[in-house]
Amino acid sequence: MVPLILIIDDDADYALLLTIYLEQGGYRVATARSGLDGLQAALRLSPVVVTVDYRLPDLNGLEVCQELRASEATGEVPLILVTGNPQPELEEKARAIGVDGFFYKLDLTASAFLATVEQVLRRRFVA
Amino acid sequence: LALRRDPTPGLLRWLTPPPIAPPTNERASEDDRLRLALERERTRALELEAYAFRLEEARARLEEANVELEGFAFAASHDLGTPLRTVEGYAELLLIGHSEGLDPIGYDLVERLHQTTGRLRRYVHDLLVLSRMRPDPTAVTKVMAIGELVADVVSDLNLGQFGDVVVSGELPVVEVPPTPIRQALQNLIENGIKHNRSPRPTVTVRGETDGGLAVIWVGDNGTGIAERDQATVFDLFARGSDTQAVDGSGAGLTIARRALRALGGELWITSSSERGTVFTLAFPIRFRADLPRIAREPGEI
Repeated sequence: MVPLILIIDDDADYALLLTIYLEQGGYRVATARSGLDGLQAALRLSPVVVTVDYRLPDLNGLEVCQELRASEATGEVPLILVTGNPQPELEEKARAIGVDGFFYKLDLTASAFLATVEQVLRRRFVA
Repeated sequence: LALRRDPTPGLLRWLTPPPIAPPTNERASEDDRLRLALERERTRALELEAYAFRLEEARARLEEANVELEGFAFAASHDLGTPLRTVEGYAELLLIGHSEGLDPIGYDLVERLHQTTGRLRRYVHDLLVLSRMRPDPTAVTKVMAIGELVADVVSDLNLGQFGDVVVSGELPVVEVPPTPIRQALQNLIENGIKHNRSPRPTVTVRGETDGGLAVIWVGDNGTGIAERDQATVFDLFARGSDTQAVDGSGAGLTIARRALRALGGELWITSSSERGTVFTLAFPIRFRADLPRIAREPGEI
């Protein structure tokens, strides 16, 4: 079965671009537009990777990642925090709560994004 | 002299005291003259205090305006960057996946759209970096060997196809916040290679310690920067008169100088057509928030 990736991002245009890139890379994609919708979708769909935008209308990205880590069903899923602001402090906080990858929105290319996805998948399941 | 509340809310202003009347008696006693001199001194002291108060008030307002301005630059660049990258991404998809539906003129137009959006995105990215590059007294410092940092930056920049970076001799070990020094070296090295028209662009990095200062020289083997451009080379979005063909936003050197200042240091340029361009970075080996700014350029080895 084709592995599914869940994108949590309230920016529909940016999420569509991520979706196209991921589909080109051979994944299936589901999207959620808020933190709470994302948490429910993660439980329902069992994605292989979840990408979480830092700025969401309800929870922030770190809170969503923390919730995902705390739940038994999603505790091991590789997480990528996606942000429009490259802050080392945010990256450190994200790593401390168990986020596997960090992606800066302005660096988006199909190959860079797919490489990050593959990197977190490898790190979780090969190491 | 009294401190009264100005009608403007929140402002305290000193009111000027009434002038001291000169003595009416021409033959005032020594005591009177002394008292008068004392009064004048006292008035002067109070006036000075009032000036200091107003100066402090102005400084606080200026600082507030600065923080607001930087906050604005940050928010604007943060919020503009993602939609710009999105437009650029869609243009790319059109060019790569749907070009057969475009006639040659349509293809050219989309290509221009893609390039212009990319350039704008790089401006916005640089504005974002610039707005974050300010002195931070609470910054966490790290012990770093500049030599290792240079090697790291060179490997990240992946400049091999464009030119060489040579480290000459030992470089200092410093204890500073890592982001500004890395950013400055990255921008200067990248600049020295990419804005360099020699057949094989080469950047040479040298360094030494001078008392409590680390001094690093980043020099290139290019044809130098025209004298008329040297004064504005650190200005935001300044483009040299002969660098139009080179990709870049023109904020790199502004960011580098701001980064050095965030370290309590300074960045200078010397350039000539015979010797190329050399940037001198000088900053305290151990970062301390209360160090005075460096004003004088250290000599070259």
